[in-house]
Amino acid sequence: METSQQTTTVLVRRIVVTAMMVAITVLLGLLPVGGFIPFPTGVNATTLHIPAIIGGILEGWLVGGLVGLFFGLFSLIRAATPIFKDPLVAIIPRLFIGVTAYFAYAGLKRFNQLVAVGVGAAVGTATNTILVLGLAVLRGYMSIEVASGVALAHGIPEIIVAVVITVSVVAAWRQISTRRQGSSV
Amino acid sequence: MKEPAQPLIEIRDLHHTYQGDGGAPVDALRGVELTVRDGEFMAIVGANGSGKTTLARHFNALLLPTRGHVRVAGLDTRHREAWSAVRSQVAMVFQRPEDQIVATTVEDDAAFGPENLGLPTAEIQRRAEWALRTVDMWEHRDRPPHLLSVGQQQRVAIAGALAMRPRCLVLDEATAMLDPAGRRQMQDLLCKLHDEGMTVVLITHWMNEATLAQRVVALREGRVAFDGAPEPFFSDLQTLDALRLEPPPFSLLASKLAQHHPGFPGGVLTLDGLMDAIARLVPEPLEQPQTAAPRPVPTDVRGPSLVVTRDLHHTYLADTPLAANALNGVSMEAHTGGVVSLVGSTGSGKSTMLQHIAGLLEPRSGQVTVLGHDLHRDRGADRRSLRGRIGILFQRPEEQLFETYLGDDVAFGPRQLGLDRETVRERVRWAMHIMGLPFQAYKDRFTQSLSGGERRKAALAGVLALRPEVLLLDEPTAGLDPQSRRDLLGVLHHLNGAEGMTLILATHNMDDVAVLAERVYVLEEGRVVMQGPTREVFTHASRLQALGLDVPPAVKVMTALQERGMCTATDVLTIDEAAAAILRCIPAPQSSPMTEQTRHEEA
Amino acid sequence: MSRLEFLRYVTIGQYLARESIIHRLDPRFKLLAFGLIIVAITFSTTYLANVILVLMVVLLLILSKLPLGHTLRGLRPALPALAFLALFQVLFPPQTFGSANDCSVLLRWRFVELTSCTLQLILVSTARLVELFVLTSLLTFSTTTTELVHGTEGLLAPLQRVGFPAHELSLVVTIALRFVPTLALQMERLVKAQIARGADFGTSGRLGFIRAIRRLLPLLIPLFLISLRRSEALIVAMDARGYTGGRGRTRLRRLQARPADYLALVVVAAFCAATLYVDHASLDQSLVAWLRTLLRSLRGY
Repeated sequence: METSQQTTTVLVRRIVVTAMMVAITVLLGLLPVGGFIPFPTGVNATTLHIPAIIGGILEGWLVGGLVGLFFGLFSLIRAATPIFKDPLVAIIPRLFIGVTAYFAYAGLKRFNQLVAVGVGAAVGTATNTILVLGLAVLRGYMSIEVASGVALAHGIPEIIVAVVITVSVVAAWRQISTRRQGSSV
Repeated sequence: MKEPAQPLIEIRDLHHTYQGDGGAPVDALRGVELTVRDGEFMAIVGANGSGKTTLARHFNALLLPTRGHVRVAGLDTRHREAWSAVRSQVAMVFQRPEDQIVATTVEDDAAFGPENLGLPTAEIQRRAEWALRTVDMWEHRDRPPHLLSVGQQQRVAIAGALAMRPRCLVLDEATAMLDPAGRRQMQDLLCKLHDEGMTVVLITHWMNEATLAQRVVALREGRVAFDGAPEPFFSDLQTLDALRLEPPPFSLLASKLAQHHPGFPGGVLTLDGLMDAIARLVPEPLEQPQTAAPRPVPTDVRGPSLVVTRDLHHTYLADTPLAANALNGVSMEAHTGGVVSLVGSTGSGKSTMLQHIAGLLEPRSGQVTVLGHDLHRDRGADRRSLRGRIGILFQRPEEQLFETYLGDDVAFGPRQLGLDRETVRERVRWAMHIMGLPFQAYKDRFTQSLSGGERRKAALAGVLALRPEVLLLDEPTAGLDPQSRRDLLGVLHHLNGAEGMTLILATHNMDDVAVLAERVYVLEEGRVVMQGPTREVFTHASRLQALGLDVPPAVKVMTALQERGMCTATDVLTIDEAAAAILRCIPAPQSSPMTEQTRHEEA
Repeated sequence: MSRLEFLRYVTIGQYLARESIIHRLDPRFKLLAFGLIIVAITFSTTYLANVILVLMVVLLLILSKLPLGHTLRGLRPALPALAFLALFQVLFPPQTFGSANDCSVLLRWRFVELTSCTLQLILVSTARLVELFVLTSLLTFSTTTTELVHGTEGLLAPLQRVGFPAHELSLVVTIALRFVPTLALQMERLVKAQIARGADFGTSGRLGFIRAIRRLLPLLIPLFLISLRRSEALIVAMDARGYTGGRGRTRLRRLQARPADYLALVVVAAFCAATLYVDHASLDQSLVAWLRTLLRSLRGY
């Protein structure tokens, strides 16, 4: 005898949210706007990993991992450099983006929701950067020095971008208060 | 006539409570008793918050009772094993068509339901074809949903429901997003399905839709307030008012006529019924058609032109296989302080026109001049500063809200204009006040926690905070319930009247046009096919209907009367004007205190 | 941004209809063949193997009757990136593809030297890119998205029996593909609405870090929020239509394999095997050398 009020199944929820996050990933990758944020240093911080992070934080590690999988596949198909044409480099690191984001968030959320979301986003992004570059080194596309350079130049901005966007989205969606007194007007 | 077997849906003492925002429990349903019988056409009406949608979701086990029980075809919805059977017998169509289509093509989507039932492939193919043919979408079976119009999408959603071969079709505000042609098609379809034996349950805000049903159930604060035939219900204006419902227009007209002609039937729901009732007031055919008192020609007081377009052409997705000519030479003009409406069915180009006036699109040829600046040739025109002076509100503007707190979102526009903190605050306060969202109470609310109507108001406040001189609105009342719509129209009227804002309204809602617009341009396939003062354009009712548009009910009535030779005044806009015009046309009844009065006046 | 028409960008791998053997193949077999070739490409490091692969891919392209020029033109944007990467690899040579001892120095200029190993790395990477690119284009130009989704589902379906959610995953793909153009139109509306409010989505980067991000917030945040709302509505709609998972579900279209499909697959498999064999001779050598350098670099850090 069911007593729960809403009968929507977890399965459907997971499928739909995963699909929607994947759609956003693909969209950001195809449109000339939104897919990356140009920084003063000349570096372009990409945003394509953010849907995987958001999917992970909102719906759990399975959704996060799946969105990451499709992100990897998409990046494999669309890649213009040999590095990302390598399925191992394109796909395997991305599986972990949403997963690590979720676990970081879940671990910290009892202390402070917003901080947990922020840390989750940072961890997810870092996972992406470290694993992608690490595999690139292992597969011989670049040396460790180059990889470290790229990690710092791209990785830091990307973490900042991911944290700002993820926190904004999750705070608005889950109605988590971001400022004690409300709006700033 | 079907034998009264076990009722299709049986609801006893239904209570439903859920957690509202902020944790307070909301009692949406407080003891509803209802029985839906096979083959019925039922309408469920009620004001916002009355519980209609909550009730509907119990019919197919999307929600479960907190207390009481719901039985569908004898199955209790609280048993998980029953859900599959329940959902294949009671199919539901929701308000937003786009968010119900799952697959990449029309046919695949129609097949989704039968696939879930595990039917053999041949049967799935048969059902999908049958369902799509029923809604007249079979020719479009390979098309992707994003290339369909909203009306077509909603038909696909219905096909998806029909393919389950349900016994009952529940429509939850399913016509809210449709244009008049779409709504008509939908209503015809529902009547057809009902004639073929389908049980139809229509949940709606629109009383003229509810008049299609055989049985009306009205909810109030979670309980059934009325359950019976539509005629007595809709003629009882007091009850309707108590339930915060608007009477259907013909009913309202009938009641106004009944004030002067006692004995005039109150429960008139159809145009034909109204015609017959009025005809009975005119016992013999008149020697010559009565004319109404001459209406003074309104002096066309117009300020200087604020917005002018000349021979505007626009092509979407030029140089691709999907290229389409949206505008084929449109010239129009709006004067300072005026209200102009661009009307047309979907695809006529009215939204495109607005975007051109706002400077968001580049025309293939033609000229757009706004506030004295030619938008594309005037290199000196500071586009950024013009932006603050032209405000545009797109369809479903609530989607543009992005800040966590409402106040911040409304402040976005003024802040982008570079205004200082105090000015921003004042503008936000003013804008929110005008929209009926008190500044202090709402500025710190979470944007996502507000209702759809409130979010729409917030979006408009965000545009108003720019203090534009020209306000462009694309279907501003689409999807709103009657109360919110009235509020919004009131605000627009105030903005034009008291604040002197020029309004340009792109819409297919002719009731809105009747209330607000002074001048109308009728568009079809990117061309202006009619234009003029609103009253005058509406006198061409049959032409408008041929273009897939509708006319306000008052105009429909007067046109029908004119066709029967009973009255020649057709330039009315509201039910009150129609009532006055009819009363002038038909002879006064022999004895009544009212008529004594009018006879005195005429003497 | 005068061309605010996002649907243009969203034609994912446009389908070009042609009457060819490749177009007519059952999508499941096409995908399998695609997968095999990718494996072959991934593990081929020698010149010879890559020559064979390039020839094979070009042959497939000819068989598909797809326009050669149009397909290869897509590679143009990748060229600068390739050149850049090659430069990096010359300046900072990674420690793989043969140990330092087996490499002969070809050129030397100041402290930069070009070894035969680095040259091989660069050429093979380039060849791989071309192969993969042409192959992917081949696949997407000759197969409709519906076919691709059904093909993937068909391939994974046997796994359904051991609990692998093949149908659920292909439903994810279907829904995602269905929403991409819809979301593109949504984005278009958002961009216009926010620009009208004074937002500036320009991509000139003369701002500080945070300001650069803040500029895109009015676009990205509502995009996510609306999508999450749509998801909620879609979830309810799917439940109402009785979706309970892949178990017991049947399909509208059923794929029928023909003998030609099997034959095609066998031929491709043979080619790939041959390629890997040709590579094999050097495969074990490079594998050992690779492990050695890996240990060395790990120990070094």
